[in-house]
Amino acid sequence: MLLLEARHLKKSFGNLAVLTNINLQVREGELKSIIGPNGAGKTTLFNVITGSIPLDSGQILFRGKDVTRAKPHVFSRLGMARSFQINNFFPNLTTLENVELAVQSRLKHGTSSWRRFAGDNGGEEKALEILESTGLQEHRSELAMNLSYGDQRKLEIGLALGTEPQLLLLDEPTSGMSRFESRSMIDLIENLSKRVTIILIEHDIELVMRVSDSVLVIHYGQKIAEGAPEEIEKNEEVQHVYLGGL
Amino acid sequence: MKSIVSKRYLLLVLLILLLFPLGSPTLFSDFYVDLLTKMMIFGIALLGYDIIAGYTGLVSLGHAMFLGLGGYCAAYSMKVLTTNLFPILLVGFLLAVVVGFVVGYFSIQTKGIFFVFLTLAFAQFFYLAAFNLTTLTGGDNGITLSKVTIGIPKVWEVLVSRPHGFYYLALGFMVVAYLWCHRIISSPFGKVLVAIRENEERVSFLGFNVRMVKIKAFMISALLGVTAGVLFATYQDFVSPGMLHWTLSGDFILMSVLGGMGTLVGPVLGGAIILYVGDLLSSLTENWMIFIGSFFVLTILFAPQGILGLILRRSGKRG
Amino acid sequence: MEIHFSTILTSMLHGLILGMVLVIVAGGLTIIFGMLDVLNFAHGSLYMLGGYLGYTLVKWTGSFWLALLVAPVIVGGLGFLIEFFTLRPLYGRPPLHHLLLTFGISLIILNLIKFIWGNDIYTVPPPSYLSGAARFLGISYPTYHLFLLFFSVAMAVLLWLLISKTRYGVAIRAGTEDIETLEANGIDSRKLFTAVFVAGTGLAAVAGVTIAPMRTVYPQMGIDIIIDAFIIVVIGGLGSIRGAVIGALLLGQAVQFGAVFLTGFSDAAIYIVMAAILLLRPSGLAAESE
Repeated sequence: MLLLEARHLKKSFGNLAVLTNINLQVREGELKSIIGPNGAGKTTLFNVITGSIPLDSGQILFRGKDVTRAKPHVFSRLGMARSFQINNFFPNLTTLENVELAVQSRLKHGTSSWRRFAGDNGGEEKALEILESTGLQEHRSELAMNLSYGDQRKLEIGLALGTEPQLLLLDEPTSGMSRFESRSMIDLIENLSKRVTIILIEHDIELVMRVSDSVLVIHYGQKIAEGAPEEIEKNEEVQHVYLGGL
Repeated sequence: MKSIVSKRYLLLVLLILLLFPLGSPTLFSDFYVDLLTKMMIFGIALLGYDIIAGYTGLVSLGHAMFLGLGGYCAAYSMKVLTTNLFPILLVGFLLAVVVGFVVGYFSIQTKGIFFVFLTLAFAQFFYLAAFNLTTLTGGDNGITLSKVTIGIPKVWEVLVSRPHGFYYLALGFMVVAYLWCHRIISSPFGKVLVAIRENEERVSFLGFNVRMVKIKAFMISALLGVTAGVLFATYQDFVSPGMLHWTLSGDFILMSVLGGMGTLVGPVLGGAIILYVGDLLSSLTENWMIFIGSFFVLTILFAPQGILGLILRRSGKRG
Repeated sequence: MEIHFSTILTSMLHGLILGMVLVIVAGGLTIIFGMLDVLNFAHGSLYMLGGYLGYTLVKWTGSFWLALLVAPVIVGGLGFLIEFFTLRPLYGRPPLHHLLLTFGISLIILNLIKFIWGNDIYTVPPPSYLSGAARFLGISYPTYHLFLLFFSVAMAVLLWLLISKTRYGVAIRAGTEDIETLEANGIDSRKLFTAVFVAGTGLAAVAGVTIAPMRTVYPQMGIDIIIDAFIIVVIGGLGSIRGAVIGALLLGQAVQFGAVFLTGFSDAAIYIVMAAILLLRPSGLAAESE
């Protein structure tokens, strides 16, 4: 069943057309990767889907419901979460506090100004679970800004997980990571893909080929190919435009 | 959440404050009781300011508008309704909620310097209204209030004595205000406020309706500001446009930064210090503001966490 | 109220002059923001200092032109001290700190002015050959005001030429984004920052001196002008000189007509305008979307 559907998305910034005609279908449970050269419009795609930038035209449906105009916090409530290409967490809070905040958003009294903030409503427990699953539990009392870069990228994902999403949008999670750090990230994503539908933007082709159920290739704001990883690898146009002889 | 300043110190301060007035007028003049009363009333306003500016990061230059609102509300309520404090406060609360929501709703759409100037615009609007609509407000001459009373009408109602009656009244309100604010910042809501200050974008991506949270914080500051305004006007038996002037809003910024924003105790401390020093200096020279302003600049340059920040850093509490 | 052509013409001229003087003030503010990323809250108090200094210099020397020359130099010098000792250490800190700092500086300057000159309003006489009135188009209009109009237009043109035609102007427009390019071109960015700040504050002082014969120097002039200037910078979009000019001209007219038609509450007009603009277009009218 289609979890997310995007139809004829168009977005320009002034004279620059960034998304010219994007169609996207994501089935529940799959991991779809989006690849393409820099500037192809991938992050913009995420931005318009999650509502942080308005679309020029097009439609976005989540579980069949039209959510084209919804703002970021509404998207989050609907069950979508996103991680960012450039670290976008809370540097002066500890790792645990970061994830607790995410978890808090789903708790019944998450914005109560009267109740005491305590783990007794299950928030801390859940946050610790997430830290464990992302391998960050040792660093739970460290300030986020003091974490290693690789751990910070994991925190990025941890934050998104805290909101119990059905659909996870990961924006270049391994960006800036060494091969060694990437490996644990790849394992993490593989694990996650069993529980959650994922849309993944990545430059790391090895990762993409390994974890994806399907791959969408974008260039100049348009789709140039879509299909199973093996097909995309063999696709000549894709190779010419992007893979450059991989 | 652990309090920034340990409970022990706070209780000690409370004890001192409770016992202090007993020493007047025999040990020292009533003047100090009066000064402390003013400090505590200011403290209530400063607590409200710390919630939006210190914790949420929304520095406004319009906080005076709530004090003035409280003051004029008290003046009119006295003429029309009653001299009894609690009904006056209730009217004030109602006004605070309405004005706080309206001003907040519009102002919150802006950030940073824009927020500063928009809140200034709103406050100046009220100031000019008070100044120019002389038939309604008495203009620059202000309005004199009757003496305020507390108690239950027809059962037991009494004038609030000065200075001791008002002192304890102010102390009572201050304690309640502090406890309330402490509850707020220790709550889930309080966590969201700090997160908004740190990284507003991510907070909305986590599913929080940031706009509503900010408006709520703004309304909380309005409530506290109006309370302080009512208390101040009924204490001075007078309200004038000066209570709405932007320099008062500026004073709150000065006091908060000097004391240490985002700590609740800091701004109150900053307010007490500036009121005391200001009083000392103003008997020496008319231009004591130059010293305070210079000190403020030095604070920003060398100790942006304020006095409380310095104290805590010394004892190794803050990261 | 009767509306004669003469009233309208006079109002328009007033508004135009106001607008142009605002251009000078707002221009200074805009280039400082564009270059240093600092919204100088103290700009208004420096403008005011220029005005009061101008008054004293004219009183002592009897020469308006001398005052016009010397006051901006003094204020520019003060600007240098401010930038060097207080702003420079703060580059790299969150913008809130700059805001608070310039706020503190403005308080110091405002109180310094009160200390030196008291709470009085002073009139500054224009040079004798510029006083009196000229008659044209059926109205009698003060000669000095006309001079002020031409002067401020000239200054605006000068500013525009500087910004768009010189190497430094390009640097200013590139702003803080392009420090590497600046330095590659042999421009010391820190010296440029200082120079821009000094120039901006000097401009504010020029405005203060030249507008003094028209509006007198008075204790509220600092806060009044900073709000006006800020509205313009907001209307025009932060960092945009062209926007600032358009905004200034619009505001000049608005204020003038507001004063004529909304007696008693005319001051409020400005705040209404500002609030309206900030609400409708929080990033200014000429702002480009990112």
